[in-house]
Amino acid sequence: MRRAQQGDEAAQRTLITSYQRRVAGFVYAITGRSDAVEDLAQMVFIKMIRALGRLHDAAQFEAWLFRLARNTCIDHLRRQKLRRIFTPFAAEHENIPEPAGAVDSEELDALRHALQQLPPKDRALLALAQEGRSQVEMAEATGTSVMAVKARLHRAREKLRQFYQPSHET
Amino acid sequence: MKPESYAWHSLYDDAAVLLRPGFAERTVRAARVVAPTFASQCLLSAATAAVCLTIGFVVHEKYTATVTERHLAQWQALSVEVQDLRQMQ
Repeated sequence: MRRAQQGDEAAQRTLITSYQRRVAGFVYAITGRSDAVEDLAQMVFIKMIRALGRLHDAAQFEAWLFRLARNTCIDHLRRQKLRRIFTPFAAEHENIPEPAGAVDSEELDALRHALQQLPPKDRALLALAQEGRSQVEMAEATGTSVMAVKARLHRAREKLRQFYQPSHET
Repeated sequence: MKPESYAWHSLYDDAAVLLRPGFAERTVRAARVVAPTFASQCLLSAATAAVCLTIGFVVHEKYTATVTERHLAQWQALSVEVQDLRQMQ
């Protein structure tokens, strides 16, 4: 970590390699689009490399990284929403089906379907919880109180359970 | 174990496959490229505005000088004509 902060590229590569699976999964959970995962994950790590020097407490690295990832995804979705105002995109253009092979199990498909029914901020909260972030960290990441996080997370989990039906397409 | 735990695991596996080989290398290389900062973008905008204003000022000055010269020449010609007419009278 210290070496990566000092600009050692080998250390930065190692750091990326050890977190790329988790960040990619996190991004996928929030955006729900397989075609955006690599670009967004790369954006997160580029931001990480550029801001790493400003991180004083190495113990906070994971919480900081996922906060960065969450904000990057929310910004991306916000930009997309804004773009729709100026571009004549219809619903069928936005909801192009995932390419063949990207969705390979009924459970995964059901989870993706359920996540898409939730607002992006709820998806981000669930993804943060899935990453093992504490409610205090989640409150810091979302800029709200721990109580608000607790309530919102509870509601998001309830809604996810409600929409999660592995056989919804059969 | 929650019913969707397996699905979350699959989601992460699926996402990891979406990253092409050499992802870390490409990312480090991309991070090396200097990104324009807000200050540098403002500076560039200010410089562009300054150049445009200077060009506008110079063009306006030259045009005004040409018009003034032409008008002076016309007035001069007119005064010569008036003098000639006076002498003839």
